[in-house]
Amino acid sequence: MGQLDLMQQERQIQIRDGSTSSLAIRNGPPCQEDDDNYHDGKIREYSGTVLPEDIWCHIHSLMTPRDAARAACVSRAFRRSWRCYYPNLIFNSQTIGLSRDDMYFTHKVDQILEQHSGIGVKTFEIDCSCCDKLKAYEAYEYLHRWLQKVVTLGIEKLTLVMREKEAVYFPCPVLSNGNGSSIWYLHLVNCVFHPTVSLGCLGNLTVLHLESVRITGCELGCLLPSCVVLEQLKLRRCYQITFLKIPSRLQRLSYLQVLECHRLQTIENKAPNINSFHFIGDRVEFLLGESLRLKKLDVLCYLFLRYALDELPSIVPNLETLSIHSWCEVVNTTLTLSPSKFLYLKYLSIYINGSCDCLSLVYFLGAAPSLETFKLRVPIQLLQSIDELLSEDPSHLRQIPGYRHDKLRRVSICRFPSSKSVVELTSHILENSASLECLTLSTTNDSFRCSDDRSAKCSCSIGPMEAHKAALVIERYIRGKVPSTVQLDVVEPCMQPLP
Amino acid sequence: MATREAGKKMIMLKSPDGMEFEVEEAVAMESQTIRKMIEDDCADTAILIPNINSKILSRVIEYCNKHVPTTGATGAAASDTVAPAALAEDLKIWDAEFIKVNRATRFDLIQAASYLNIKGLLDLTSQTTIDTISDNSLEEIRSFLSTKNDYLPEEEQTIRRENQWAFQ
Repeated sequence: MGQLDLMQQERQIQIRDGSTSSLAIRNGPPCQEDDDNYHDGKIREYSGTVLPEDIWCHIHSLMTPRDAARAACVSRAFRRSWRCYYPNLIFNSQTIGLSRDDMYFTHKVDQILEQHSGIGVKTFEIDCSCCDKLKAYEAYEYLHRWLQKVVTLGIEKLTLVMREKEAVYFPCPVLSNGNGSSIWYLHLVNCVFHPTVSLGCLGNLTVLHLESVRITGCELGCLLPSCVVLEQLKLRRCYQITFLKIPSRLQRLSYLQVLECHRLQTIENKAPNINSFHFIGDRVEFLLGESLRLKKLDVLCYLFLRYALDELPSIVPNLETLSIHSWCEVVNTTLTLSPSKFLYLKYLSIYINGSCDCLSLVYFLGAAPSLETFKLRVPIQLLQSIDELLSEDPSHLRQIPGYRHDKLRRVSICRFPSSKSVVELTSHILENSASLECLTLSTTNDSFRCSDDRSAKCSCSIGPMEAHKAALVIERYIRGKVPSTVQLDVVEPCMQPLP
Repeated sequence: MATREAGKKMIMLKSPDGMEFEVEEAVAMESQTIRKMIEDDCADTAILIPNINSKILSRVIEYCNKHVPTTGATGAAASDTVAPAALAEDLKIWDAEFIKVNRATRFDLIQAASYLNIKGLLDLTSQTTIDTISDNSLEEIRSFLSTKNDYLPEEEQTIRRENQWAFQ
């Protein structure tokens, strides 16, 4: 048995098939530094006073760059560990600090990297957004030099944050010759990125995050097919992309985020396993052909509400969670009966910045027969309609008969009552939802109280008079309709003075 | 000795000072080193754990017992009813108590975790050590580590100058 084998090896855990444990970190080429002799080859119990160097190396690798650099001054062994093996090179204004000298940051990073062997770097992260006077051409020279040193086979995470108005060319050749093949995380901010076929394979990339990156849809189309294990694709403010095409080869892609890419016109997805999609932007053509697996959709878009009800059920029939932020709805958007249904939708959150006949949301609820949770927020309050509600006869509410929502359990409405139609919708829900357990009506902008939030500052921007009227509307129109099985939770503004 | 008790496979671990610990196979397999031996069929009889005395080994087993997923000996089978976040929080509090030991014991635990390849325990003991030394002066760190300053005076000046940013 392996007992004897084990006894013969005290520190480096060499298992029978030759693989080593996570601690056997000194397997790169030896560093040209002095070498202390710790290995005496004898078996002894741990003494509890000193730790062997490989363990210190490991502990050292877990320190922040600042702590690790300080520890390098303790002894030669730590200096060796810092220069030869320290794996997480994270440079930003917090780790390096700032100085009145504008070039302090880049000089410091340059000096540290000059001393480092470049071996075994796992994470390289640089945030130059603090360097106010760094020009793009200077940054490119530094970046090129640094990346040439640290991007070697074995690097796992690469994050480059450049200055907002000085986008820097990403030196693509550093990733070629297989050097980029171990990277699983690539995050570029304010870079110019022109990958070509010669970039080589990013065969282990699981997260690609491009923010304010100058890359065209065509270039992205060149890069994506080689990222066969990609799981998350995040694009933000990439204004050169007009057409985003995601190939079917990306079988593992499960999360897609496209935010504020304002020139984008079409998203064509062929990846079969995306289950979550987050989109912010103008309306684009969604060609989500193979999106049967899509379960979670979060969209902030202009005039999206009606499109969501009319088109989405047939495009993404298996949605379970849908959050819609629809901006600038035209005067009194009114929904109508939808021909198809969201059969699996359990969670629906709607935020409408504009005017909407909220009673017509009954058609949305009607198109989601499995819905359990419904949240609504319409922040623009029509004061006039509250006064009308308080002077009118409570029986003058419109109704849409023939719709029941028997799976609905939790409903939360913020900024209640923003309009008369919200009161009508609330009445409808109370009268047609047999499983309803909890109704939260918040007369503030949020569904939680300041005391729940534990934040010192009050966020309730509601005047005491409005809040008082809102409370009267609830008493007059709602409370009497709440069955005994339903918990009515009314969230009112706190009594803190307005800031 | 590999035995069976109440349907669960048991593994015998022996410390060099002659103590024997019978533990569930799942608990022992929290150690990747032992897992490898079991998977390679090297665990027919008792496994001798060299270097780790009975006092430390019993603490390591205590840790593995607590951290073995779901149906562990500690009755952690409640994971169906307890939210994962609450369970993680509970483990964190338990870990914080567990690691309140003197320096010698902690160093022994680090070496044991390293030898037995138990990532969670290695991370816990390493991070606690980092937290202990992170705000200390160089002299205090040296004394804590029982390490001598082996720099020549000019070498020390150079490295201090290079890394001055880390002291600001």
